[in-house]
Amino acid sequence: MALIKIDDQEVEIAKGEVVINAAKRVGIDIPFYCYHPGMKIVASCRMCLVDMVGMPKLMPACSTTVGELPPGKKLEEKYDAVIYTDNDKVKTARRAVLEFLLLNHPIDCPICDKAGECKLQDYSYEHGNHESRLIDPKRIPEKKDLGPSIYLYTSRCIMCSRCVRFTEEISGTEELKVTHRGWHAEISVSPGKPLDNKMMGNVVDLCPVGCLIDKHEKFEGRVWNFVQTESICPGCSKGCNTVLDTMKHQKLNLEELVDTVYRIRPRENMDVNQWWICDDGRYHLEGDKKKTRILVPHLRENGALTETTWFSAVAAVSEKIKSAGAGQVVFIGSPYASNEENYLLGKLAKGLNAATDVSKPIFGDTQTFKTDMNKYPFTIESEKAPNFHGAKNALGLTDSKIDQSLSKKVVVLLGSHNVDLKSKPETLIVIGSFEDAVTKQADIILPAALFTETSGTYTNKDGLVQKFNKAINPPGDSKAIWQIMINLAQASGQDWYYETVGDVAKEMIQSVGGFKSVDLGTLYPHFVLQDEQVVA
Amino acid sequence: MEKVLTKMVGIENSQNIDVYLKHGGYQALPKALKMTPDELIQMMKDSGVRGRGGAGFPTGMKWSFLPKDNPKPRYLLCNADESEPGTFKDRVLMEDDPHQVIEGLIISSFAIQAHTCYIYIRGEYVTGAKILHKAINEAYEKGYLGKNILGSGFELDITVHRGAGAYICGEETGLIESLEGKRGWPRIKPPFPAVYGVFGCPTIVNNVETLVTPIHIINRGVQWWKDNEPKLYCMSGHLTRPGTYEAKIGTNLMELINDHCGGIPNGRKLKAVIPGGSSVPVLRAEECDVAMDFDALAKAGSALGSAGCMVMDDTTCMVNALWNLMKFYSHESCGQCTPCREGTHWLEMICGRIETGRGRMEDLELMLETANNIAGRTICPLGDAAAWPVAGLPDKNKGGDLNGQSFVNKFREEFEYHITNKKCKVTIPHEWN
Ligand SMILES: Cc1cc2nc3c(=O)[nH]c(=O)nc-3n(C[C@H](O)[C@H](O)[C@H](O)COP(=O)(O)O)c2cc1C
Ligand code: SF4
Ligand code: SF4
Ligand code: SF4
Ligand code: FES
Repeated sequence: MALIKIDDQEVEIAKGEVVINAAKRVGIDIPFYCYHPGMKIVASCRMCLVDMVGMPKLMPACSTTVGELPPGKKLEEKYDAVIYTDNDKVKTARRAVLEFLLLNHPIDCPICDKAGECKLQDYSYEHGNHESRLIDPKRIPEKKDLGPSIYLYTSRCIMCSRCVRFTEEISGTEELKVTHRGWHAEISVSPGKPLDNKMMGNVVDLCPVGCLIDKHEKFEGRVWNFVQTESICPGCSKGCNTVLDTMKHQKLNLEELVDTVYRIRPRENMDVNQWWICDDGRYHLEGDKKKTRILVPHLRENGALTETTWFSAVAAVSEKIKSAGAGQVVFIGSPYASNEENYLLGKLAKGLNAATDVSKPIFGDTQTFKTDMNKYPFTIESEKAPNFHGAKNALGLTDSKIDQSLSKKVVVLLGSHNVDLKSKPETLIVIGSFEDAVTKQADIILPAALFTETSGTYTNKDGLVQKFNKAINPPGDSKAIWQIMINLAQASGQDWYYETVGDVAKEMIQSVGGFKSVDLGTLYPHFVLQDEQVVA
Repeated sequence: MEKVLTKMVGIENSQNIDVYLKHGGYQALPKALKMTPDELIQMMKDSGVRGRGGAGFPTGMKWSFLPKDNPKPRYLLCNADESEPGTFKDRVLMEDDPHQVIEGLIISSFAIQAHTCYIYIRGEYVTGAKILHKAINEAYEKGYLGKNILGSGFELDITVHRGAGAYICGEETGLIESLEGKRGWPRIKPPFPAVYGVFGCPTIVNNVETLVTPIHIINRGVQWWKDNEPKLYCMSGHLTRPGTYEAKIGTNLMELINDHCGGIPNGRKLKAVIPGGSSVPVLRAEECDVAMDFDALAKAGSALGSAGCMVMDDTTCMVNALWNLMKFYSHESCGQCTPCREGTHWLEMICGRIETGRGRMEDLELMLETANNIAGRTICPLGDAAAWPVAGLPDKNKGGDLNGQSFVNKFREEFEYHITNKKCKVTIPHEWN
């Protein structure tokens, strides 16, 4: 451990730790482009230069480490290094780097999707020259199509090489290369080998400028209109931490208010996904766009599914359950629903003396991205559901016996896309979001919110309980499942009510053994969720 | 003076191993193999040899940086990339006396205990590469290379690796990356190659001329070396007899120009000299009464560099000359660091504008400032190499800023004339351009 002075603050710096990290700990943000804690340090952008006492040249904070000095040699009698991050020398160097970067930059911010979250913009405002001295012609190379989902706006590149290092060190797929030299250097792919792997979306997040642009997001929205919500990817049992960027504002020339999730980005969690997510997770919502969403409750009348009100649908459910008799009813939870939702389903079933079960996750391919240079191999799990462990736990089950359960007279299904119906039960009640083979056969459909439209927790494959948050409102008449459960309970004469999903979690943690170790305070710090609407 | 480094030049079939042997070749090798590696390193330290590649780093000291406790194999890389403008001395050694190079490599490899040595030769040196290949085969046949060299138990393989035409692959870490099959992007130091070099192993990179020095120190002794240290000078430009000259280190620049090279032809006058390859600050005619060694040239505000001495007479347009240099650096920047990638190109553009009559007075300050914004702020010294000809060497008294003593300030009136009159102050530059 060495002690350094940065500007006028003291901070301890571990052996091998870089100055930029230590500075961050005391709230000093040194600007940077090429540095990334998960990849090889190249120290090439020169944005992070700082002034270190005793060094003839400015030093890159992203690659400079500090060792302990012998007692007699300490600076100011106690420090192993004294560093200035904001003196004139440093400011001049930063200004110069930014000026250099703009020399061949098209400055097409008005039509760039990165505008608003671009580090070239941000640093230029903060550290740049405000008067241009660039009178010479610029080199503006053409945009390139790198592969199925990414464009390279070549002229915007600042050559930080983060994207190249990602494909070399993290995905190991090595599609991206630098071609040409000097100010002609460009990011390229080899002919016939496009940028195409399940981790590729990450390079768009990594690009500090608007050079790498996701085709799914191109010209779709402006980042200053986004609201961020912390979430968990439901794509597989890994449980990657994500951020949902939601557009709350009116889209240009559109009448209605847009309330959609515009993109999904990784959120750093060193224990789970580090800085990355896979493209299955990133484009998870793309698949939903092709399906038909169920927006209102449905009831089968005279053989045909017809739209109805929540009141009649809920009444119909309790009527069916009552007439069948408790022994003939099963409530089937879902590995795609949250712990809280499965817990309430189980509680409802228990109150009715009905049986419970859980449906199985869908299994698919697993893929591991591993290279010698990466400490954290990234595995996309084969269990394509976020919460099988949690659902079993919340329901007090050890495994799924769904094939037997489906033979009961009344089947209440939480989610339907992973259920294979061999023969239709007498009464099939589905709480689901999209039309599919199962909902077509249902007698009652209750439209449910998606993970972006409510809050709750998932338990990942390692037993880690993580919370996702509501980002947008459920469309149409659809409702959060935990709220549907309250409705069903009340209709069947059970006397329970929860103001928020946090209240459900509190009770669940206390009453279900498997959640004992969960710290409610970290999951639900305020206990009451913002934006969560309470159903009367 | 007796020729030592270039003794074989001009002798018929000088590349042939038997001819080399007949002229006293491979006599230092057995002596070296009887010394210990540490003794050899100490000998290099005692003789004070400094690197001939450009930076002038003391060779013995570099060799002693190899970690003692690293079990990985060590490598010797012979830097034969020779792409510094105005430099062509290694070519003479390799093409006319390949066995001297090989003997030097064997001794040096033994000194640092490397069993693999690569000669990284610039791609354009096709002849040199062919000659080296042939000579290496001869050396294997005679038992100077391979297993158990001269019965000493020491084993060495030499491989010739041809570059693909990039100046930056002469920079030691760019060379290492290139040798590993990657793009020649220099590495950030530390770690230095002696600790973490090619294939992640301890590595020594030295210039060709540096690596032949131990032969002569062994044959003639440290004291002889200190008294007579021979050096190759690459004399080019407006000279009656340009070429590679061997002279004692510290020979006066004017003596090299006038006595060795026959002076400046056609009765023209000396205007300026770049004494150490294109990367060093230029000297005005009146500054050329200087000893051509590391310390004297540093004191004169320039550097010995690669000893590529470019002589310009009074018909040279200094704006055009600087533009020419800037084109080179802009073309050769690897493109990794922002200041070098963009700055070299900007310097080229500004210089070109001035030369072609579109300059503004403020461009002169802009050039100096831009040079300052590159120098000392890049991964490898190519950035400095581009900045120094424009604005001179770093000055401690100016907080490390460049002292301004090179092209722009030393020939400022010529730049200003260009800007004001939109034409050259001197007569049309001749074939040198
Ligand atoms: C841009 C650049 C190009 C260089 N080119 C060469 C070269 O062609 N040959 C060479 O010997 N050294 C070259 N060098 C110097 C090497 O980096 C290194 O210092 C040298 O090979 C060390 O050998 P020495 O100690 O024997 O001088 C170059 C340096 C730079 C920065
Ligand atoms: S495309 Fe983006 S991430 Fe890649 S080198 Fe250029 S600026 Fe950096
Ligand atoms: S690995 Fe799994 S949890 Fe992570 S982003 Fe991909 S699908 Fe989602
Ligand atoms: S200084 Fe220039 S040549 Fe050297 S690493 Fe940086 S960009 Fe490449
Ligand atoms: S962040 Fe340090 S040089 Fe790029």
